[in-house]
Amino acid sequence: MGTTGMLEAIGALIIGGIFMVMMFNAYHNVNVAASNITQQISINAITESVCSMLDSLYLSKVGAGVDSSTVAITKAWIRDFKFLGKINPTDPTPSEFYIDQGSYDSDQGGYPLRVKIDGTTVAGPFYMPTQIVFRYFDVQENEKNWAELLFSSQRDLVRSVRIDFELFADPVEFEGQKAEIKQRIIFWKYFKNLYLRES
Amino acid sequence: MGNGQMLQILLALILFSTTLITIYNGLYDQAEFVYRGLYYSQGQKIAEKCIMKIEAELIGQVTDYLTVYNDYHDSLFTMDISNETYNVHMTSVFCDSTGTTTYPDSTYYPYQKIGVAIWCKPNITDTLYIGTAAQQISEVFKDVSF
Repeated sequence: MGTTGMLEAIGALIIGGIFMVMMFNAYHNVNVAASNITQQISINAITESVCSMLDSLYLSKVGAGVDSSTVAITKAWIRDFKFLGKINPTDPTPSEFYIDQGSYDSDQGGYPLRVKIDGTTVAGPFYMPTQIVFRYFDVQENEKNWAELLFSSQRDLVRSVRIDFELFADPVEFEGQKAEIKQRIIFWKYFKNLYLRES
Repeated sequence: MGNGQMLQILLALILFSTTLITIYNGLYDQAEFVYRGLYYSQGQKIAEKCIMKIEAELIGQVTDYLTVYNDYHDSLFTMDISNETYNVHMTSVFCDSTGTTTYPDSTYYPYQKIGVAIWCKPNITDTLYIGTAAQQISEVFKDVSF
């Protein structure tokens, strides 16, 4: 093989090498993007499930079967919400529901959200990248401030809640960068059992 | 390296690039579709809120059947959620129990259909419609006040 042939071979090797690196890089990029999209689809579905669960299984019980002389909402705070309601109409006494967010868990990288009924955890923990926010409104949709909500007479006026809620998933890390895979959703719940007290 | 070989390499590069661009384009479409889903979900929650509010107020007799009709006959407002503005258009028309709206607006009928159409314009995509004027998110209410 002459010098020219050798140079051609080296050139081909270099071009081929670059081509291969490009191919592998592109293949990896596509895999990372596809994996992150799949994760985002999952987190969308999970967020919807958690919202539906909170809405239909727990928040729908606010004030259910509770005598109108009793304040059904026992704690209304920015990070937690405690209320009374009967799980079944035949229950002799209302249960105490508690939707509570704990402090940051560095192992899980998020704030745990749990639902407890009479002190027993029935759902969660769901780890959230940011803290949950509960906001409470009266029948005229005026927001109740935190100082007011310390008093049971003011909590008795609460008729709806707005919940700011976010879940996340761990993304694939590529070249030191991580995509943000999370879904933030805001939903509302009007407490129909408490609205019945208006009538 | 002859001209033929050079052309073959160039052709291979072009073909490979085309394939790659197509794959990326497909992925981008998928990603956009998924991210639009985030806004759809939020829009649906807003629609649920609007309808739930009416339900609760009717149950609690905070409002009445005709007030609902008058308030939401053609109501347009915006809601700012997570730095995005959602435009909400609510309509109310009299209908029968199946939601068929063949009744003139001025004619009282004991059923009314509340419809919600929402649109927003996130940066990632064109205007998103969550329910449209023709296909609203809707619920039928009955007048039980008599």
